[in-house]
Amino acid sequence: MRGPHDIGGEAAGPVDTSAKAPEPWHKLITALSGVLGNGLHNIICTDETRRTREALDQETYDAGYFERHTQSLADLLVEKGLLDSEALTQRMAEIEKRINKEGR
Amino acid sequence: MTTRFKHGDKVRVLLTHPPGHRRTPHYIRGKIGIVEVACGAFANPEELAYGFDGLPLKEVYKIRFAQTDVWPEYRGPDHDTVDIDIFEHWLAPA
Repeated sequence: MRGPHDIGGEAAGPVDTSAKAPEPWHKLITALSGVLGNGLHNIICTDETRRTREALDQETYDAGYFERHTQSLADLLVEKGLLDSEALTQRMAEIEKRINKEGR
Repeated sequence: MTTRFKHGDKVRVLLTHPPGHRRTPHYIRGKIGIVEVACGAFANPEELAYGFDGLPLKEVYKIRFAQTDVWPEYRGPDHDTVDIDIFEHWLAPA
């Protein structure tokens, strides 16, 4: 089976070279991964995060760099029993409701 | 300390597609190249990815491939090469 990451040699279209300023949540997920991971708390390791990232479905994978980093981190933490999948879904629904209502 | 392979050895990358986390890209599996250098021994990422300690350490080799061997329709110069770092357990003598 070939993961969505293993695309060496395939046609992949032009590279987007536009510079994008990172959004606050990009920095947040990077910081969170760092705190959890190698060299700090060692609750997760780089290789584990790569595994769950490579296991993402194509659509989630293609959603973007930070999108797939976030989803794969959540998947890994659920797998380790550190995050409850239902609680996460519920919390996301609450936040979505708040955003729709209050714009934040 | 001697390593299994050394500079100049001809090696073949295993043609196998095991499930799960692997560090050998599909496009190089089954290809033949020449060992450039032994890069040192590292914990096996294919085991670390599942929470194991990745021991014993495994040697990584930098293997040089001719682009014309890697890509069936390569249109660049004949002398073009690509170097790929590959774990020892993915290599066999060729």
